[in-house]
Amino acid sequence: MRNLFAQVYLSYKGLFMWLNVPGYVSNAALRPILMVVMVVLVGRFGRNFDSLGEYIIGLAAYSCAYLILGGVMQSMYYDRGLGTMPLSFATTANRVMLYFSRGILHMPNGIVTAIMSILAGWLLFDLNVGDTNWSLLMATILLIGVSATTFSLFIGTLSVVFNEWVSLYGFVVGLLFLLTGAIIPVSRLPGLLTEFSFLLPLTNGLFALRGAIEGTPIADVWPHLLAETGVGVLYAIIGLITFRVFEVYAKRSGILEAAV
Amino acid sequence: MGYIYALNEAFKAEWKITLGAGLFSYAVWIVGNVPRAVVFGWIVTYGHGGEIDPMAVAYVAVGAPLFVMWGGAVNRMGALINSERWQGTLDLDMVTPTPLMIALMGKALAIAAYLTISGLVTFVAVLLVAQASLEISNLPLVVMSLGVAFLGLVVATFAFAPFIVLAGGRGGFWGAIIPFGVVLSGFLHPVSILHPAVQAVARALPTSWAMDAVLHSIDGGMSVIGIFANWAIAIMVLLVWLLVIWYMFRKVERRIRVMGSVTTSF
Repeated sequence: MRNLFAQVYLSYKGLFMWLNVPGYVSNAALRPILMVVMVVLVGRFGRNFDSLGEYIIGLAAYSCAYLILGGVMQSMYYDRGLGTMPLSFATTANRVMLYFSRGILHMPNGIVTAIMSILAGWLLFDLNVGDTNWSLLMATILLIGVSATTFSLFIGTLSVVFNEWVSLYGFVVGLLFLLTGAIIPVSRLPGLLTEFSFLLPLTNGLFALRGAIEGTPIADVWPHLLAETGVGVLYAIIGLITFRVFEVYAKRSGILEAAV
Repeated sequence: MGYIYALNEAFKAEWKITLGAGLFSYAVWIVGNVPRAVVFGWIVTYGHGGEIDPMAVAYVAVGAPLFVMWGGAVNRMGALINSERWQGTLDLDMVTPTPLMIALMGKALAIAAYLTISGLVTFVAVLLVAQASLEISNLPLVVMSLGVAFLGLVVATFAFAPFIVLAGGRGGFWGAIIPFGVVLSGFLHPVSILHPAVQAVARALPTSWAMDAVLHSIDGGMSVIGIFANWAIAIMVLLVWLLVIWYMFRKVERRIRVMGSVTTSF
């Protein structure tokens, strides 16, 4: 356990480049608030007055994934770029522990941004939170945080493989914004994209999150929570396998290090 | 003449760095922000479930490329300065007689130039989603207004460079700048829908005037003279920004010389 805590702390402190006051405040507090303002203003311009609350809740989940993904991806990318990954691979440390330790401390950041978005919606745009089922809301945000983290670890592994994170990050968060129902209801997506969207994190959780704001009891949304858990587990398994495959391949071909 | 040479070389250097990252990286970079812009196109087209407002669709279709370019440019500018600090090349910039502002301006222009491809892809994507024909009152005026907005975008991107250097090039510093800039610039909605106090702040950005010209070129709600006036104000504001940026860079360079080094270790 001591090794796990050391890995969790050191990888977070050493490889998360937004961990400074301007960077953290900018990304965890200001950005989600401004995203809410931006989307609500576009919604008003497009006369979508009835959908603004839905957009804000969608943004809460999206912002959560946005920050976790950014943090995890850069941590994993810099792990390779700064030369610490070969040291990790040289140890006999448990690989499951090594893999998940890269994401654990990023999860609370995502939860903070989700709360900031809802707070901004309530304070600036009168988001109705009077009927909210608070325990369900917190449980759902936590669950979205977990599934976003396992998804981020998987994508983070790809950023290690492709030796690139900024462009890939922009592309993946764009897809999450487009396909998870954060703004566009998944039922309105064309063709197979609706089915595909349920394989992404957030999509199932968003049904529960919107239900929580409307005061829906947990009994009515548990299938969505279960599905979100399933998606989180799926990415945890796929990501871990990818990570192990990369390790074996990298050791054989000697490509462990890369300049940033 | 020397400054033009330096500007040109900085421009070429940035192009080489971007293309040198590989085709995969470049392709992802070009299309990366497009899905987000498509969502905004959807909001104004189908979000309300009622009759489509052609003016709103046209406005977002022509503004979304600027939104995408703005996000990409701020991100790239921040990453570029960070890389220069880490790799120690910013120190070299400081010992050359070329002002830092000229070197970074050349790079900002290169970033804007290669992001125009991203802008074009976005424009087409938003139109495909909207499945609506563009109803524009005066196309040449829209194109000219977008040109002025583009210049404003380049200057606004470049304006954050000295602040990023002053903030120690700390990662993520520019995270909130992107949505902040979108709200105030008028890329996705007219500035006139903002709260009057916020609107006053937005008027300090050249893009807000240029986007007003875009709006009225689309809806035909303003005379050509009025649109020319908007361009003139946008360009005047832009020149004031350039003066401020020049002053800021001088301060930054002085500070760096006092500090002794700008290179940062990881």
